[in-house]
Amino acid sequence: MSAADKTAAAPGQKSFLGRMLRSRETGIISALAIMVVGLSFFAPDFASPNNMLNDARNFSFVGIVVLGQAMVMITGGIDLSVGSVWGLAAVSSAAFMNLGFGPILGCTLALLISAAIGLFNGLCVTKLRMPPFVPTLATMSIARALALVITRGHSIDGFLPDDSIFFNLGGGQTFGLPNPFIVFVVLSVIAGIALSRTVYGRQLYAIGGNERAARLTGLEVDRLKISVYVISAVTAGIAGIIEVSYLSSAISNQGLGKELSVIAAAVIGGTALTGGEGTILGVFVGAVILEVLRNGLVLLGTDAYWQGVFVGSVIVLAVFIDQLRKGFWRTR
Amino acid sequence: MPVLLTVEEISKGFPGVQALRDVTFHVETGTIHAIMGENGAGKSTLMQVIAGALKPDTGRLIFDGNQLQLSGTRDAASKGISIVFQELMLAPNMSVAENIFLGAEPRVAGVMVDRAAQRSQARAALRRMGIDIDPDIRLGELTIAQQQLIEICKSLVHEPRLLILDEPTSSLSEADSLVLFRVVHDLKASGVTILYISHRMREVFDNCDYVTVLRDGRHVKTTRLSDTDPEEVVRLMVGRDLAGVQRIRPMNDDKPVMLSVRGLSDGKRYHDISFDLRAGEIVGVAGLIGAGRSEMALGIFGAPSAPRGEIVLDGKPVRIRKPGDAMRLGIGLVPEDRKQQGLVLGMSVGSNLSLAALSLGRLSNGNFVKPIAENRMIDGYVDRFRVKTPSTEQLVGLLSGGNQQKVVLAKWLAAKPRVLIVDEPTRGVDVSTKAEIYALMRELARDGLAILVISSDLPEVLTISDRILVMRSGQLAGEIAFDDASEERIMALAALDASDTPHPAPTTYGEAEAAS
Ligand SMILES: Nc1ncnc2c1ncn2[C@@H]1O[C@H](COP(=O)(O)OP(=O)(O)OP(=O)(O)O)[C@@H](O)[C@H]1O
Ligand SMILES: [Mg+2]
Repeated sequence: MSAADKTAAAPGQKSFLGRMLRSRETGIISALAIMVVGLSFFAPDFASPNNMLNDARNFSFVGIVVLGQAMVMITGGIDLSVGSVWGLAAVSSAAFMNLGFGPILGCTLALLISAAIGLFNGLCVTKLRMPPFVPTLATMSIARALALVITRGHSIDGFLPDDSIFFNLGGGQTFGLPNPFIVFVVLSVIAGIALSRTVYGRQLYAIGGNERAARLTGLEVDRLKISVYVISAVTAGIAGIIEVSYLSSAISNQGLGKELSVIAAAVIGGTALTGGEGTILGVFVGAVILEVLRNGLVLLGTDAYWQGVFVGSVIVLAVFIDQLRKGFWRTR
Repeated sequence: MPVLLTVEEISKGFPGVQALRDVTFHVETGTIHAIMGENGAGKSTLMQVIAGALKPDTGRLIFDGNQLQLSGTRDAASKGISIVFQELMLAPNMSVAENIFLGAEPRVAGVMVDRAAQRSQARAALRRMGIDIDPDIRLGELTIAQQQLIEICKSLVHEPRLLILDEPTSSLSEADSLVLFRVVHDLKASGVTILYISHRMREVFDNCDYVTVLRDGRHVKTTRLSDTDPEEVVRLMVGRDLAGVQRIRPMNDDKPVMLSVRGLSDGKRYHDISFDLRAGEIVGVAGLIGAGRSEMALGIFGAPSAPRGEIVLDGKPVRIRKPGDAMRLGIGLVPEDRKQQGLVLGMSVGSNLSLAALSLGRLSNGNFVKPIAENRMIDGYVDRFRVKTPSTEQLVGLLSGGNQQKVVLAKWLAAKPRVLIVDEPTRGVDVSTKAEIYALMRELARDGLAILVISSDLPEVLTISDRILVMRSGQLAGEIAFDDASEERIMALAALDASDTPHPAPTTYGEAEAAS
């Protein structure tokens, strides 16, 4: 009887504030707010509409890929191949269009290639029981090499007439907002709904939280895991294609090293490397923080060579604060 | 006798839960002192406070005349207080000796682990406890009962004066528990004081000197066991009288066979298992730990499926290759180990509860979860099982052990199976909830659910089962009808000539006592 009373009383308004305070998003959103206010104050250029819109475009590329990475990490995996898949999708889409395939077919083929790499990663992780690190490290190398094979080290440009609508995707604006940002927001909403409102999302968290229990509850663990690697690779492909559209040319080292930014944004956003935890709101903000930090350091006139030090410190700081929130230091 | 430990007005709260309120009592030197109470009464929390794993909000501990200020379990161990936690905390991939000395390794030159010393000291420690286990063996190869003994051995490294055992027998069969109690009595004889948590009334009355009862975080009474009786203890725990659960004569003969298992074998852990399960029938599966009961259940459920044998459901042979197949056919399995197999500890009570139903496509519209239907279902089960939780959003890992067990059971009932296999359904569950679970199982059986109950708790198997299958070293040793059922019959079948088991070590020690 006392138990029933408690359960009836607790989820009401009383706990709402407590839940807000303890929720992980509150922490990083406030961190972002502090950064934005601070930068607007110390670097007035930061708050200019032009700079803001530029930032919005810039974090969208990494941001789109973080959405897929977050899903992989929620299942307890990791995808190191995203930077290379990004590059491969970029050059192959340009190459297909160069062959006269047209933007729609060219981009679709590039995304299919990306998906195939994701499928390969997923199959290695599930059917061959490899730790995710291994196949995605391999495809990181393979996809980058294939990008080089396609370009032979040259850039691909002039693959479409300058006035093609394709270039609008990365370079254009809608309602005054850069198109890549719009794509990022739309994909975030879709991913957010998938993770929080669907059976599929629930199952991803369950797999990351306890794979054995998930299996014994009848979840199709292998199929679900394969799906997230495919999604991750496709988001990397989308980022690559939008970047080609933005740059109007493709080179083999697009996306080089981006896997690190992507994983960093996911971790800053509160995604646990051990699986079972993470939200789309969190990683969205994580991606924004990373770009605002980079941009802010430039505007503040910081030595560019030191940037990595700041980014690294922020990663450690974010995870540290997250552990404080979870009471990690109290219980152990 | 002199007082060893005084617990003085200890309080401890967690977000949303006041686990302990002003708890005060004494523990006398050289006694075995039981702590009893319902699930979530605060027993484990109190023990963790005493052992330095949790800091109390208020109150004092006086140990041997001195006030204790504990900075952690290591500090407590150095002051003579050791604890064996409710959930095993061993490293399955390390050797027995390494586990025993984890964090307290004998050193050479201050840095290197002295392996030879570690091994010989481990062997000596095991021999002192009278256990015959090779210290070099990988821990994961031991049975749960043996692992439990290793936990105790590990806690003895610091030569404690107060040893805390939090539900050490909940995963042991009665025969296996006897070994543990032999060790506990030896320790008592050598002057060690023991705080002992258990939900098994008989065990407590047979072995302990004192009992302290907690209810809703409050101290209710501390008394000599010779001055009380089980009925009174239950009344103190629950706050009211509790009718014992009676056996009920089954009337199943005319009911249709629901599940039929024919010659099921995996070639290692279970062989040639055949039995029928009728709709509305509750069949018990008894046997010693390691007899292959859980493996057989997993084999029926497709996790992994048995390479040989046939499963017939409703008269039709079925192929079950994975748990999803079994679930779609209407078979559910409540697994033995809630932490490893049953729950996603990092997910909420609610999400755990609905996971099985959701993966059967219930409570959802296409792929979209129907939040209102889901919450109604969750609230219904939380009420029905009286799951003690501040909200359904609470992480299930933060519930007390018995309340976690209720969530696993509810999760599987929410999947609405036609055949339900439950493996140790009431492990760590308190008396009153146990009675409710039995009543619920009977109610479900009356509605036609066929239930297979695997249990190491003999009174439980006897009370709940319409008939009992006994397994011994991977085979069905026999079947006991309702009228013939008794603990002696079960033990005779379970332990008879166990000398030919493929894994002699786990069973041999238990069987000697059990057969006598
Ligand atoms: N770390 C924690 N965070 C939040 N609540 C907790 C935590 N640990 C325990 N609780 C709560 O405190 C209460 C007491 O828990 P405790 O584990 O002491 O119960 P118990 O008497 O050992 O029960 P059981 O017989 O089920 O093991 C429970 O309601 C439990 O949910
Ligand atoms: Mg407990």
